[in-house]
Amino acid sequence: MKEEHIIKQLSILKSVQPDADFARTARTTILYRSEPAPVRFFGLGQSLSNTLSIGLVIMFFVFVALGGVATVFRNPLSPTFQGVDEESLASEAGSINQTIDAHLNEVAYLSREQNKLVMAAPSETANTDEEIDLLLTQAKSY
Amino acid sequence: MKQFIKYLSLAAFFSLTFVVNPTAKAESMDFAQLIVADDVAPEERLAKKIELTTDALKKADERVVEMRTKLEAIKFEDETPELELRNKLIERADQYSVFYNEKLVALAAVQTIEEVDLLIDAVIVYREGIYATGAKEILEFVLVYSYTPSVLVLADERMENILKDVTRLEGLELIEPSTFVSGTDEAKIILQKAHDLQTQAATLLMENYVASLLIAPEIQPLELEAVPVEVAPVIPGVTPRVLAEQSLAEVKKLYELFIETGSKVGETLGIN
Repeated sequence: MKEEHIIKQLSILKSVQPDADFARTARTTILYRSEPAPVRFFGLGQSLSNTLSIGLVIMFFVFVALGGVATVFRNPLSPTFQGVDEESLASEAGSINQTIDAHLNEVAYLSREQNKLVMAAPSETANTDEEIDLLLTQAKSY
Repeated sequence: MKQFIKYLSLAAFFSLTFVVNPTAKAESMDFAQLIVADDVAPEERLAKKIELTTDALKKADERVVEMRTKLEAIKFEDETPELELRNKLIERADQYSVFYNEKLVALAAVQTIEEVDLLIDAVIVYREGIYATGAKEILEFVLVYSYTPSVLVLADERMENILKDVTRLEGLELIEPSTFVSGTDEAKIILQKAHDLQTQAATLLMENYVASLLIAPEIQPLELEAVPVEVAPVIPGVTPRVLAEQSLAEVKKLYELFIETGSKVGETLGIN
């Protein structure tokens, strides 16, 4: 009797269904639940195959190594010995020479014995005062 | 044929004239310019003259403003003759600016070519007589107190870096000790000379200024006859400008030596 009763009860369980409201709520919860944020580094590691990851790491180190070597070849004394680096010295010297000449030309132009206006085209390194005087000469003779 | 030879001879004669006599060439160019100007309508000439003069006056004012900015950037301690002179030079720059701006206003009212020409003449006379003398003093002041010191600071830093590098290379046994001693010693001497010349230039500039206060009155008012404020230096031919130029020439020489040293280091290390 007892066995029969148990079997009967178990067969009833097949037709057990959730409450309609509960079913709807549960479905909604599952469908609209936000995805947990992936952990970046582990996520990347997981998404890429091990071979690809190792390949990328090797490529990175090769790139860095080649960059360093290229820099050393390009400028052997830089950045450790900037003081005696020829390229940097030549650039600084060129810049200084140019500005020294420009400054001295400016003073020299106004220091002429006779401060007469220019009557010809300005020199290659014409300074502002020379340009002004040339403009006035042109205006006068036009 | 005779005609052709005649024209050819004339052309050859004129060409020869230009080659032999450059003045004739210049005169002929001026003449050509006049012909071009004659072909232009008077209204157009007037407009062009105004345009060129406006451009010149604006540039002249910008130039003076630039001078003033450079002067203001030079700092001195309070109540020093240097500061006093700097302030006087700033006032002078302001006077030039006032003159140019007044002429710009006047130019806007001119109606005839004769009026423009008169205005241009006034500007030319002012620039030749008053501006050139005063602006030269401003530029000399900037040269002595601003530009030359800034170049010397750069040279000092470079010298220091070179000495550090040479010492380190010697420490690493990459170069023989004392290989660069003569070069660096020479560089030190040249740099010191450049500094000394700059100091002398500054001293002389101030001596001249103090002497000018005893001889000449205050700076002349605007548009009066130009009176040279600068007093003749003690040593004939030696001026602050000359000393500053000599100082800068030493700096140029110094950099040649620096480049030579850099090249030698490269050769020693087998880089070059």
